[in-house]
Amino acid sequence: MRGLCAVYRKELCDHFSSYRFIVLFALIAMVSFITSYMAGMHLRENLGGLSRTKFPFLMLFSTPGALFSMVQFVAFFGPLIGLVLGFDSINRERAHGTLIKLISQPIYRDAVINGKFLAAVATISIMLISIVLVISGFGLAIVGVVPGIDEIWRLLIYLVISIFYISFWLGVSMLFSIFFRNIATSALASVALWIFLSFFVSLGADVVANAVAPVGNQREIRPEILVKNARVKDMVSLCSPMVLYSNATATIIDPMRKTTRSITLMGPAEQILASRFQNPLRLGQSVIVVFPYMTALIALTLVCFAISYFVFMLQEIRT
Amino acid sequence: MIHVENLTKYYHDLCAVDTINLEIEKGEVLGLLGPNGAGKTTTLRMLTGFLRPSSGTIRVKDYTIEEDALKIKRLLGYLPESAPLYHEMLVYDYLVYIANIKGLEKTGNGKLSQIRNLADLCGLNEVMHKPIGELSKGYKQRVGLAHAMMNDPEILVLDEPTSGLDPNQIAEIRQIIRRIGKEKTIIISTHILSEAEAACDRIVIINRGKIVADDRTESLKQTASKEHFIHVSIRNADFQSARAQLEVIDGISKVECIQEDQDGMIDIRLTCNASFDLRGPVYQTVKKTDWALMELHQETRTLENIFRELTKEE
Repeated sequence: MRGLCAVYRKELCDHFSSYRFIVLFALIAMVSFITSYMAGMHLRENLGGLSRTKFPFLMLFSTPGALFSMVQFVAFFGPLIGLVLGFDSINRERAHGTLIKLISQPIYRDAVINGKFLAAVATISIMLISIVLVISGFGLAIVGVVPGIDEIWRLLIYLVISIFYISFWLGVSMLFSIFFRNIATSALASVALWIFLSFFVSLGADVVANAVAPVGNQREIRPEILVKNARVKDMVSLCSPMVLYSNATATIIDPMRKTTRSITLMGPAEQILASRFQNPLRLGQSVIVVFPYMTALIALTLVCFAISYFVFMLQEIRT
Repeated sequence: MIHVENLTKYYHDLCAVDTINLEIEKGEVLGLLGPNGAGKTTTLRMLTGFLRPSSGTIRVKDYTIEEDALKIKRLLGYLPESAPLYHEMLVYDYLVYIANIKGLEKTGNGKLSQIRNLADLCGLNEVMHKPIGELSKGYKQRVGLAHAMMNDPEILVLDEPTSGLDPNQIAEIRQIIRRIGKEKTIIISTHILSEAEAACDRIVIINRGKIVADDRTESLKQTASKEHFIHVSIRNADFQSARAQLEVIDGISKVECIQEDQDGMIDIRLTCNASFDLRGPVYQTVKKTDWALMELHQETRTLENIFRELTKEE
């Protein structure tokens, strides 16, 4: 525990004093501000005449400003924070020879990787919480609506999911920093995997869905085929942590959404019911809807770190 | 204090350390000598507990490396080769970090007083608030030494502590080591013979993973000083006849052919008793023949000769 605390404190201090972290933090904070400002202005204009708007505060995070909402921004570029914090965590120490020195100290070997991971997770948490808090304060001033308890809980859950999401990418980059001795190689591999999983999986999902349930050139498409196509697409898309994260936060940050599916097959009775009940989902129900995605994301993060942990523990460190 | 038995380490198929047996007493300063790639660093890394031996046992006091690696690490202070440090940290912050890792108490005779003592001992007072990256190699080595001694260990393991330093820095580091050596068991790995000769009570020479010599420094020096070498270069002779003529000279114990050129030149080394000067009898012997004497000189046998003999490539 002593070694873990010492490594954790040193790593935390290193993160906060490193230029790359400050630059990335400034960039993300700036984009978040701009997005929230645009969303805030948009909300003020559109909700001005309405008497009882549902969850206006959460809209600050989920309404797209000029290009995208803050939630979308975290989904796209949040992984970069994780990658930046972890891509050289082990191989830099190895390259400088300090890993040998660290491991020869009277501490358990896992204190090194645990300390580094926890410090990076703490950095991610502090970064996200501070951005959400500042945006909230900013939003209060622009929109002029105080968030309710339900909204605060939703934001907290959203923060936890986001921390796990970014920590997954942190775990990936740490794993590469253990596998690859060269810092540039691990950085490149991390970015390549991020690009592939975030941007190309959806293209692959289209191809697979059209192969399994083709909907392209037919004049009259049967609804069952259309639904099957959408389901296959959704299933394959879940290979992407970004889709998993978007689904995990979908009903949390937007209570008006009742499902994470892009297309659903409804009978006439269900259509009448859906049109009658326009109220938002309660927090518990929202959590139930996204629970599988949340647990999958958390499990993915833990599995990724566990692999890094075992590889590091079993590796023979010579340099 | 340290008991090493049949220690072996394989890196895949390569045997880096081959069945080493070693006994190190408390308060001894042991020099581990050997050419590059001999297995010195691997041996030290196994002793310090972070490289697992392929076979064999290491016992420090009553602890074994397999079961009590952490306890052994607490007894040891290790300075790896070229003292790897965090260059962006201040010296003081680095020492505090190491004190935290080693679990020194914050109050009383704990962390701060130990850092102060080490700063005095290693001469770090004037650079305590400078980034490590801005220090000279000598100062970096001092920081490394302070690191190794942070928990006041009973055993210090120093891997090539003067490598890459200038003569003044080497002298300073040796002075610090001598000061520490009065109280602690020290193992120094080096390939600089003068360093081992100056600082160590005992010298162990390793070559290709095996111990090829293990003796007190004084006895090795005495062994060396008992014999001289005479180098003779002659032309118009073959080695067999030259040997027949030269080995009969009283006091010569060994005749070796060092080099034989195609143009008939032979370089011969004669090992002889140091109590006689045999250059005269050798000259007289050559004079009686029709060989052309091209060179004749005497060389005092040193530790370096012993080292080179024991570690030369076959």
